[in-house]
Amino acid sequence: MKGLHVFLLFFLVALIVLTLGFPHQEEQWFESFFPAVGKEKFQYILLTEFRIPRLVIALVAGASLSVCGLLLQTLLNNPLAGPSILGLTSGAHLFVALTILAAGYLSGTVLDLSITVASAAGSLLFGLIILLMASRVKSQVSLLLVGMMLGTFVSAVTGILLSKSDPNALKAFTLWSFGSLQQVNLSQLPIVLTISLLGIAATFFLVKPLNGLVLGERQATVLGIHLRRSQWQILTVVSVLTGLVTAFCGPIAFVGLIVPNIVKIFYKTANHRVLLVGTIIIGAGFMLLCDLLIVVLEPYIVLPINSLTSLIGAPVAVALLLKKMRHA
Amino acid sequence: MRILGVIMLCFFLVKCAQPSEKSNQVDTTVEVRYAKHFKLAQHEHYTVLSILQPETGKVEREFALVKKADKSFAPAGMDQIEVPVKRMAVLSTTHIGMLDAIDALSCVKGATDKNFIANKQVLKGINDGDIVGFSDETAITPEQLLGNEISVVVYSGFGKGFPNEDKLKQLNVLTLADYDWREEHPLGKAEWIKVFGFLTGKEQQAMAYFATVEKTYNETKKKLQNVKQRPKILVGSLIGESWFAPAGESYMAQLLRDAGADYLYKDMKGTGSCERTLEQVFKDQEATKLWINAGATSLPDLLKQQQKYGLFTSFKEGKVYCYTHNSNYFWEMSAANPHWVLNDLAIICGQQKGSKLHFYKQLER
Repeated sequence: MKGLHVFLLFFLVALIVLTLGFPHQEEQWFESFFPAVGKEKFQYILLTEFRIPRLVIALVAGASLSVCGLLLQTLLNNPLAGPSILGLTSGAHLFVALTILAAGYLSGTVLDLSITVASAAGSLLFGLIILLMASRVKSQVSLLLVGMMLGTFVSAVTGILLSKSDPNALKAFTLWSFGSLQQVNLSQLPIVLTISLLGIAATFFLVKPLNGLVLGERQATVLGIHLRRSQWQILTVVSVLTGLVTAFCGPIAFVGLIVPNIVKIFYKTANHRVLLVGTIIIGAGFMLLCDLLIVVLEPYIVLPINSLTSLIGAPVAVALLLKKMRHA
Repeated sequence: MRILGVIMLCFFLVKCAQPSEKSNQVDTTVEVRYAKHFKLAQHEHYTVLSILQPETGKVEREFALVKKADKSFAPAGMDQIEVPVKRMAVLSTTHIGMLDAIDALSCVKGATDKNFIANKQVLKGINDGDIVGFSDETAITPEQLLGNEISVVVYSGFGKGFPNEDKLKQLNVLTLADYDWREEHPLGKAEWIKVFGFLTGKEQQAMAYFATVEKTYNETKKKLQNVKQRPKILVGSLIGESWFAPAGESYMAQLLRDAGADYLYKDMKGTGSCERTLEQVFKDQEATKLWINAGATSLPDLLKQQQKYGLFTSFKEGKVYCYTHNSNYFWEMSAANPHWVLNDLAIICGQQKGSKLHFYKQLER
């Protein structure tokens, strides 16, 4: 497993270098690092203000959403679970809408933190609803339908809220809801990195309950795992990470669903210590690859990150669903 | 004698049939110089308004604008609008601006949502309950239209027709697509005022108003067409991952060219908009000291939307202009008054003397 970790890590580092050095428009390869004479200051700004924050948030978003997906899939014993498909992202969406519409006077770090907290609270609330439903709805596909219904419900509520909001708040929310990796600035990186690293690090303390939950709730209890507490802990971590990514990048779909499934195919293990490391690396790499694809396609079409992840994610989700139905 | 009587009767019948044939002949085609999506042809007893499909240029729908007394002369098979229209619904704030320009607002009995309206008279009408406010086309109910005795609904056309158009027609409510927003020439948009003039029986005012707008616009344009020092100018702002900038042959690009500006994306082909990423725009704008339509009310507001805007040359120079402080007024009045927009842009570009801007405002720090 360590060999695979190292190989994937090497691949991720190569991808980071490739992303930073990829020529945009008429640039030369690695021009940001070796700028032409007279262009030093301009290229420095491009690198530090545009490309590095975008790269970091891509890594953070990819890793965080993928870890959330893995945690949810284990918690609900459902390989089709993910923050977006189960409605957690919708919860974050609703609470961010309420925050932006209600607090037009906030700005800077206060606004960032408010949106992050609201986003996490929304995820947590909807996560709890899903957890409650999961104890009653036995069918895994039905649970996904509940998640989708939550998403539809949120769309309706936000639609009503927006129709009654003032134009400035409406614009702020609309801009946020498009989702983008370009919204994060250098000054916001410390807060994003701190929360995400703490959240991801916390998941390693949950390895034992996660491994227990793979065997089913009854077996986990027999192994001495405090089920209710573990569910709360997992849901809290998932909510914070989903909330963070949704707050800073807008809603990003399907990453949390497909990456853990790819990781399980690669690693062929149920040990979450291994799966978590793999999910972090592949999740970060997947998002970076999507971002690189956006840059490559820039001369022809500007693709929103959310559209790209959905374009890739939706067919994979359907394939997984069909596979699951065949085995049922 | 009987034969003579039959001949005379036939002659009489033929004679009676002749006037309607004669009235079908076009007596005058109303001059439409810039707008491409409508035509007006005046006949002896009525006027034919043709709405043309922007994509194909073909006639999408024709209306016979006919006075009550001349209704019998209107051609059969064509939708008839009795003019002057006394009770009308207008679903775009631009239509309100056009009606206001020809002093015909009294016919407005239905309007777009009041959140998008600047006109005080219409706002008062909505607040007093004299005018019904509609949020959009799909929110309109037949009961509202019939209850307010609205006979014509003017809406911004999208080529798909109005929801329940045929059912509304059965209730004697006609819907009319307005494609002013698809016009590519600034004066083309303004020329739609003629449609409102003919609908409201104020055709003379509409023709005179447009003639003044055209004259003023073209005088400014002529004065600035040979200016050598054209300042570079950036337009638009980021929406999600994309910066939507007007293409090189668009309405805004034409206005900027006529205002003596050197628009950053003037070479981009198309009449719509072109898409750029924030990074591309940042690279392109290095020597651009002016920025318009940034979509903010102040520089801090702009930073709140995207902190990287602070790195833009125009932002650093503080030369960012927008109409967002009064967006509704801009959308209401700019289409009917492109000469005011042109004048604003010419002042912003330093080509025209004066500091009083009509629509635009320099964003404060």
